[in-house]
Amino acid sequence: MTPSLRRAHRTIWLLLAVGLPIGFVAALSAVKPPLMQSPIDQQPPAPLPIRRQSITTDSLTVTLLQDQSRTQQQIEIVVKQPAEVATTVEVQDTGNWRALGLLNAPGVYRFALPLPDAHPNIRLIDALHPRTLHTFQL
Amino acid sequence: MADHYSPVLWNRQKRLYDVTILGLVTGYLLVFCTLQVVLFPQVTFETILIRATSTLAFLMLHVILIIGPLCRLDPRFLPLLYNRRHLGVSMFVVAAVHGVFSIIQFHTLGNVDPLVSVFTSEQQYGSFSQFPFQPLGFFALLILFLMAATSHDFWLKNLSPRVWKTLHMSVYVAYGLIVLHVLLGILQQEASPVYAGLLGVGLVTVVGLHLTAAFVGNRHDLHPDVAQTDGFVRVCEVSDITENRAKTLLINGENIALFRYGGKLAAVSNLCRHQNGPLGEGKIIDGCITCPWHGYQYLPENGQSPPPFTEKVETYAVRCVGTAVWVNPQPNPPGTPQAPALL
Repeated sequence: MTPSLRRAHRTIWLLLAVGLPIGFVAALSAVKPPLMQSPIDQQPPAPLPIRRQSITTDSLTVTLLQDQSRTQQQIEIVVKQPAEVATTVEVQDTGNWRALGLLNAPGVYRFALPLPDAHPNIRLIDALHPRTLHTFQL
Repeated sequence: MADHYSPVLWNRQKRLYDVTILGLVTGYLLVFCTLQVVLFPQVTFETILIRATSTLAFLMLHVILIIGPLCRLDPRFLPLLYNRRHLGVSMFVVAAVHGVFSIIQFHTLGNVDPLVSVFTSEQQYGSFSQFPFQPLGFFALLILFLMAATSHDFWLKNLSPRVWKTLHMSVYVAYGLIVLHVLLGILQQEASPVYAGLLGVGLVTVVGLHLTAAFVGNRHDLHPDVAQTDGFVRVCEVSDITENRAKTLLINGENIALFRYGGKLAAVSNLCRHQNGPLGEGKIIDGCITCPWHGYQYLPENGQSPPPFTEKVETYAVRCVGTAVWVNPQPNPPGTPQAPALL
């Protein structure tokens, strides 16, 4: 092997001797504990009696439901066409987006809203390819 | 030696080498797959194959990477170097099976092109721990493909040994990418410290051997003072050179192998014409300097390969004054006869 290639070898391995252990330690330090998930209830709760507002698109209808005492609210989503991607429903809760559940095959989905809000912001997202599919203000 | 091209120049040594590779690869796959079936009966065949080929290819890459420094540190490992290219191509085939099955298993069931999906299914390129690990493996496989495709002597001859060797040094980049592929992939999901421990041992072994060989090998080269008398440089004493062996010299950038044989001293370039192998680490066999890497031979008096072979290396003038050896670092054109110094 030529002296210049030998020098190149030595330089490369010195760099790897520094870089790879750093990567090794950094990667192992970054390991996160397994994510604990709560199962999502597949049975939609019974609908609340008052239908306050609805928004309809080609593929779905989103309705805000309320009880008589106005202390409970639900979002009802009727999926008319199968979604092309896994879809997560989120509601804006004091500035942060909070997951309510998933939409799968066509059908009726209802999710209890955590806090009564006169005009809740709802969005549908594709969590696998981070992007927002729809945003609704009811 | 090569006086013509053929797909593979077979001989007994190569057949033995390849049969050994095949036997070890088959044995590993059988043992690994059997253990997986017994220990993890719920795992599918595709998953077992992906696991088996990934661990086997990574293990083979470690073996390939440590052969070079082991040979520099101890010549008894040289038989492993002789057909290392076949080991490299075998490793690429195993790694390719891992890559293809992984793409089939994880990327062909969606509505996105599988190769596009490799790069877009995970997109957190700004995060270290969440960095997409699959593209790292993809690029490493691409490098290994390039090396496997150019591993034949046809490419070595046409690219020149220097360019070919430089190209094949990209295996070190591939190694770095694969280590990160493992660290950011499976090691982010597996809680057992055994896997991290095994990777750490492999890393320390490969890096440690390369650095040791680099610095120990450098100490074996003689770096004589460049004060010249009549163009000659005093390099060592006759007794410093073992019979039928050489001392390697670095004088004014010239890499020279100084051989002692049959009461004579002769110097030729230390770079074999085949792969720039270190002739000075070889020995005289049947009156010929024999490269330790692949057995290419040269006559010490003229630097020419014996007929019908046509390779030639540079020769250098040597003088012996008393017990002191002097070498003229000005190279003669390859194959130029140069009378050896008599002891």
